[in-house]
Amino acid sequence: MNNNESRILLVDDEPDIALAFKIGLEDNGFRVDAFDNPSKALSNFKVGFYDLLLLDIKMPKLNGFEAYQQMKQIDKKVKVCFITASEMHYYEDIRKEIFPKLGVKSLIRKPIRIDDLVSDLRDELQYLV
Amino acid sequence: MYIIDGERFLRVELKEPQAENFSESLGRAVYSNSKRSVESFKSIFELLWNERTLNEDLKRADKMQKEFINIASHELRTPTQAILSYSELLQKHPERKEEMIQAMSRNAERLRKLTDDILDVTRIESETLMLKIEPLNIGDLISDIIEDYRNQIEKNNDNVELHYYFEPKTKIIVEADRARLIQVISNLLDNALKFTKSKVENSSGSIHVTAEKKDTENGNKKQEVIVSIKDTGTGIDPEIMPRLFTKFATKSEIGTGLGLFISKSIIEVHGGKIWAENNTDGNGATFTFSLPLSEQQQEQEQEPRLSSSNLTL
Repeated sequence: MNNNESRILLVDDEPDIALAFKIGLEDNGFRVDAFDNPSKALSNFKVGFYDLLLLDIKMPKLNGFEAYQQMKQIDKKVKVCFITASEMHYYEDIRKEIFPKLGVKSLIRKPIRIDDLVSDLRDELQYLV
Repeated sequence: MYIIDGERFLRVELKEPQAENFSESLGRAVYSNSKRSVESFKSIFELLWNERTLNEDLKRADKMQKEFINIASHELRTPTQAILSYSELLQKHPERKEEMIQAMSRNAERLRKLTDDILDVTRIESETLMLKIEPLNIGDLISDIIEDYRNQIEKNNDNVELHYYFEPKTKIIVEADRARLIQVISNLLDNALKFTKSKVENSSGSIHVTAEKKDTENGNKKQEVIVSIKDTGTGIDPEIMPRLFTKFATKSEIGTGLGLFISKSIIEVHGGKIWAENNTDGNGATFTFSLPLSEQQQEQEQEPRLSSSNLTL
């Protein structure tokens, strides 16, 4: 699998960040659908369409975990990386106990450079090259 | 053993290894024909009460502090991420230069405001807030601020009317730090504007500001100024009301969430009070603060009264 086929669904309630990540990831060969609103993202979500979800955790109305659970019901196999600007230890319990059960590996911390984000996502997608 | 009084209870373990059973140990521990011994048990229990209350207060404060740090760090990291990313992307995307520079500018401003607010909160909490007190004519001060806001409203084409009622001839002098007073009034106006604009777009909104002299209610013959800012906005969510002036008041998309906490601290350190309520007509909210009038002015005003009583003689 190479970059050109990887489609990412990105949800971040900060429009500036959603846009910056979209541009940055597309520069690195990903195809990105970005939403600043999880409900909009959900209504655009289709089975088998996305290789990876990149979800901000702290969002008003519906947080990243809840959005993921709803998407997982539609597509059980979709992979996910969570990203947060909060203190990491806040999610320590969730990371240790719930992540392994859900098959989630990554909790990415903001702020992050685009190159580092790209390599984290590539790890998740397990590129052969 | 549980020790219970009218409002608290405490669980205590008394160890008396020589005793055979509980009653014996209690008996041995408490039995005494010396009043001093009983008094000393009483003081031990008092100490334990206080320690427990202190511990609970400490735990609560610690939890609040951790939550504050979490919220603050989220608010700091978010605009930092935007600035970081756009500075990386700018070179590669000259065609989007305008848009990216605006985004960076927006987020830098957000960071600047947050830095100021967090530092203010730190100063307030450590009681190192420095004030430069001088006599100020608050009526005129508010006038100037209103003018700026009217210009801003016009410039942004906001559909909000700003009214200011104040008797220009009456001098209302307070002893206050000018910059901090401006900070409070601006914070309240910013909020009023924000919540009035966010209501249904087509309707127009209004903000009414008043400043008037009043005698204080505690009968000490002092006077104060009452400044109120009434808006026709979305009103205050009853859920947020109890923590409105704390550091944990939620914010809208813009704003740091710390403004009201800082405003309250500034007003209180000047000897005043601040409060808020939803308007009785269900349309928006009113924020009010009071400040004691300068002693000088109150003295000046006493004099005319004296001379008129002289005249009657």
